Amino acid sequence: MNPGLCIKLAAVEVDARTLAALTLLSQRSGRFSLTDINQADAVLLDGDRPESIGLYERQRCSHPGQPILLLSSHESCLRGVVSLLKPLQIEALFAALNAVRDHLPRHAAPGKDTAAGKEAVHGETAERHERAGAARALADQFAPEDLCGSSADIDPHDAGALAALRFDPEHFLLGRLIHARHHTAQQHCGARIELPSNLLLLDIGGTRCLTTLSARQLRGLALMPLDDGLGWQAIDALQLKAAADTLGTTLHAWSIELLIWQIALWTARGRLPLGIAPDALVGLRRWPNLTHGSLPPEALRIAALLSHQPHTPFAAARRLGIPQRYVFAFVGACAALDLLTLTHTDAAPAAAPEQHPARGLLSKLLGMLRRNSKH
Amino acid sequence: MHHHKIVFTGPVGAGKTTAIRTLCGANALGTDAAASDMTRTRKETTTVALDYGTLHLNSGETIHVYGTPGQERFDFMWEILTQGGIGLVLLLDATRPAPLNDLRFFVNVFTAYVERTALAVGITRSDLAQSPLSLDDYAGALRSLDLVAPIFEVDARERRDISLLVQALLLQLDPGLAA
Repeated sequence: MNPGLCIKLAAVEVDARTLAALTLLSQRSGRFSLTDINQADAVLLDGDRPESIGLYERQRCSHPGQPILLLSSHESCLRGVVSLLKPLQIEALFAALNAVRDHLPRHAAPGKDTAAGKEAVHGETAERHERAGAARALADQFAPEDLCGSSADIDPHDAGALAALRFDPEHFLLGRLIHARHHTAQQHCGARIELPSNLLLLDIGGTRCLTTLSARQLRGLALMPLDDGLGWQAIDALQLKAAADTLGTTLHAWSIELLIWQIALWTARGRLPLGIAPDALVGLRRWPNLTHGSLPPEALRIAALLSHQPHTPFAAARRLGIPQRYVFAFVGACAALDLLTLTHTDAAPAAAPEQHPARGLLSKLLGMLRRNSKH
Repeated sequence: MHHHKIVFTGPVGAGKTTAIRTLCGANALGTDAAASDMTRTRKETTTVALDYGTLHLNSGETIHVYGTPGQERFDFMWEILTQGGIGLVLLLDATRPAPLNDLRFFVNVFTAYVERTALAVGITRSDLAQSPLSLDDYAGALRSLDLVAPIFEVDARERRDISLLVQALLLQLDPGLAA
């Protein structure tokens, strides 16, 4: 625990007297500061107000990982809240803030999966999991080699090297996920994907994936060709609930887009999936959500180039002066999310992008932003 | 001397002030005042003039970062702010009633600016929205305005998020840029 950490607390719908007391306490103790609900580490609600249950529900749904302190004239039976009795006692408030402090993600044990840590602390099910924080936590968890492999550049005319460069997503978890996602979105059902000694569940509509597996375990599975006997099946809401119950309460919920992005990078490791011909002109229909999940090397530059004008993967690497595996990794992950446009090379060759008149200045700014964002 | 600037815009409460503070750190200042109108339902203070910050390059050059006040009654300032700018960062609050209308509104207001520079879109508070739109929805709305631009979900308090958004903006201007 870091006793020096000042907790940002949002006091919502509390009476003026309590608010005044909290303001005074925050200024004098330095243990917490009052802030608005969107900046807060924790929320304090008045549990005696008629709208308090609604507020609690909304907060739980919209920000599942956020600790809630409930100030009330009676002990609360609501799940996952820290109860504070009226009139508010300073010691009780500080004890509650200490509990909150220990539970904040930045205090999770090193190497511990942030998502898992929060689950354990709050006893939340996957439906109540804060996915955004977990998504960011992935950004630094994996080395470039985990995402792009370490293969050297090849000659695009070397048939043998080209064959070694390709992989078939259908033989991996990636293929199952892509099919299950399309089906659940189209049919508005859920899906159950069988894995060796485990399973993944896609919720109704296929926007989220539920699993007990950590990111590192998923990476291990992503690399492993799956037995053809292990498939996936569509399921309805009741079957989904029953299957989720069998998995227990330590479920992680992933946005399906984030999971497919990660699995595609882990599976490909810088190889090109079947379905993208090496001589196809690849364009970007939409940029991937690059603030969430792992960011493969040079992803921003590749995205900018391909959204500007389609290139073959080899030409893109050449144009940007980067290893081919970086482009293959990015393109493969985008293909898994159906973000690409593919045309054939009998179209006109890609022209070099126009240089901005202030290229020198922009390059320096880009360099500064890159350095600073790593700190 | 040429004035290099990046402009942040978007509706009230989308996170412009926070994003500029996140990006510029101590070199940021704002003009917040207590909200006295409908804005008060979304936050306690609002920007009444503009947000401003600077990014200083090792070479001695300065990039000026401006944030527009979100309320439409201050829109007379928007055109002035964009003069000589490098590009536009549009922040949209996913919890507002119609984020796609916000997107269309701000893109239309800044059409001429975006056409001669570049655009990057950050979606804030998507983890707080009851039924958040997908990035495909936002991309579709942009396409209907004949635009393709990076669209990321961002947390305005996260330096990495805002930095990536600005990096994407710069690379839109010149995909051949190398740091």
